Amino acid sequence: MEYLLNPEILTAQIINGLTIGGIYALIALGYTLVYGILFMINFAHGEIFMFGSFGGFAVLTLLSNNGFSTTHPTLSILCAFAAAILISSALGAILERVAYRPLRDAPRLSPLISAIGVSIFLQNAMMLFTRGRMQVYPDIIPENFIEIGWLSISCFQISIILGCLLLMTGLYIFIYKTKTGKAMRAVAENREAASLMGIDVNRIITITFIIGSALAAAAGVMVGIYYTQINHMMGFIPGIKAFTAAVLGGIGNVPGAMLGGFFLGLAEALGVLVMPAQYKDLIAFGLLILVLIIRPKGIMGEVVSERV
Amino acid sequence: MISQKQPFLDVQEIHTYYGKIHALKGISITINKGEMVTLIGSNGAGKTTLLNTISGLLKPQKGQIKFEGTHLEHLPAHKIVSLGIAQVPEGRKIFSRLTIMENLEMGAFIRKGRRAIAQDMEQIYDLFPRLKERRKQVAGTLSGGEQQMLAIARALMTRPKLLILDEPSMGLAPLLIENIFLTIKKINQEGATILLVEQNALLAFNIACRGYVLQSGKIALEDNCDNLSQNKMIKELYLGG
Ligand SMILES: Nc1ncnc2c1ncn2[C@@H]1O[C@H](COP(=O)(O)OP(=O)(O)OP(=O)(O)O)[C@@H](O)[C@H]1O
Ligand SMILES: [Mg+2]
Repeated sequence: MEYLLNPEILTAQIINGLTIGGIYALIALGYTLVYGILFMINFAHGEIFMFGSFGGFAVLTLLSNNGFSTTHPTLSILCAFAAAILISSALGAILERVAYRPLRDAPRLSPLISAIGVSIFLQNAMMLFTRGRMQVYPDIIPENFIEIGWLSISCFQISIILGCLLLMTGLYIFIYKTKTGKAMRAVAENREAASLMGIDVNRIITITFIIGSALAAAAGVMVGIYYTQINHMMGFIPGIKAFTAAVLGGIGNVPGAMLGGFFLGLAEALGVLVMPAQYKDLIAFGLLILVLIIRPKGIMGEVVSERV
Repeated sequence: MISQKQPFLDVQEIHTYYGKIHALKGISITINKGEMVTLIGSNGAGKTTLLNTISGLLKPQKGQIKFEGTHLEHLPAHKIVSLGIAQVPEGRKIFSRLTIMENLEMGAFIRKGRRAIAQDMEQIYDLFPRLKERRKQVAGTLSGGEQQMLAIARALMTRPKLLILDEPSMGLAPLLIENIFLTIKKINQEGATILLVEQNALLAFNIACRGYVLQSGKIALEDNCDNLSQNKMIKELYLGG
């Protein structure tokens, strides 16, 4: 157990935890945004993440085959993010229109079942497309390490953590400072009152799906570059983990999903220091069950009391 | 020639349903420009249903609604707002997690022109000084009376030609009610046409010029407010004898 006190291992695990935590947080935001506005869990969100990852993969493969990525590595990666975001956003918007909007007034179980159906459909569609084979992200930028004294940090990890923080800051500013963001919060609180203000509720719901999907797409490309191997099942476990993160932070609560993601990432990374690594998933789902039993509103709970 | 004096709002033979429940059974009302018209009726008479049908939250199955000559019955609620109809909904329905200022900004959602919006906001703050003091506060922390003021203020921010109010006195102390009613009168004098739904018929007849009495989904009576407040049936049913 003495390695627990080894600062190198501890720091490395903290950085691992923040990296994966940031990715959980990006995906978790999609669950929480959609839940906040429609009170439904979009169980196909993991597949939106998976499609984003494949979108980035397709573009990077293309650019590395024609040699563009050797001359312009950064631009290639930006293209991959752009393509992923485009594909996932379109997918999210179509999904809402086709699978959820017709069920808007149906009992709550119906859209949930529809979501699970969509999730299975998308997994299988990608399986047909890739013939079920694992795909490997092309190696475009070498994984450099930054050495600070005894500390050695991967530039991938640093970029992922910073990228996640950047996207989250952007989202926060969007939701709290822009007119559309404020309208999103208004629709989340009361759809009818919002439409009495002249807000097109359907448009706002579409935008919410697009933003959540775009964040998941970014996470998908990050996972592709960091772990290099992707397949059609890759959305499942991160999807459930990110859902756990959203519940940890209080589903529907935006800062909560961010904190929940980092918290879960750290808990997993530090957890493997005290228990065998194959029990990692146990930590996430143990936490989920614990939170649901003890504090179903999540860590952040409801911040403001509502007077009726 | 077609009659020049087309009503401002013209509701003709409206039928609205909740599933199988026939809530409005052929209602017709008209409102002229600049008027304040009140609509009274007991619980469940269909007052809110009628207002929601006008503002587009509910769709009528039969009948037509014209506002300044434009048909409303197939327009979604958010488009009707842009034509100049604002509704202060029953139970206020303010955005409690948004600040007071953000609530007012939502009222101005359809509008362009920052300066005009800022000016209107200042006017609103003059009308409701308590809202100004609390403008950075989350609206859920307001008292019931302040929330009602915010609901009215938010609707005014849309710059309505027709302001619809659904029981603005509900749950408020008498002094506050008086305050709110004075404000409504002021809004009317400044040029907005008003449709006011009230349980408190006495109050409503005091400030409105015409009234409709709604009974189980039908218009039972229509008259000017002086006559209505003298009406025997009304006295018994709504004015407590
Ligand atoms: N969402 C709904 N679903 C089914 N029936 C409804 C619904 N809303 C109202 N009703 C019914 O329609 C009728 C008219 O209701 P409405 O709310 O318009 O009455 P109201 O005159 O506004 O009453 P109150 O003074 O209590 O506000 C009532 O019989 C009511 O039960
Ligand atoms: Mg009512």
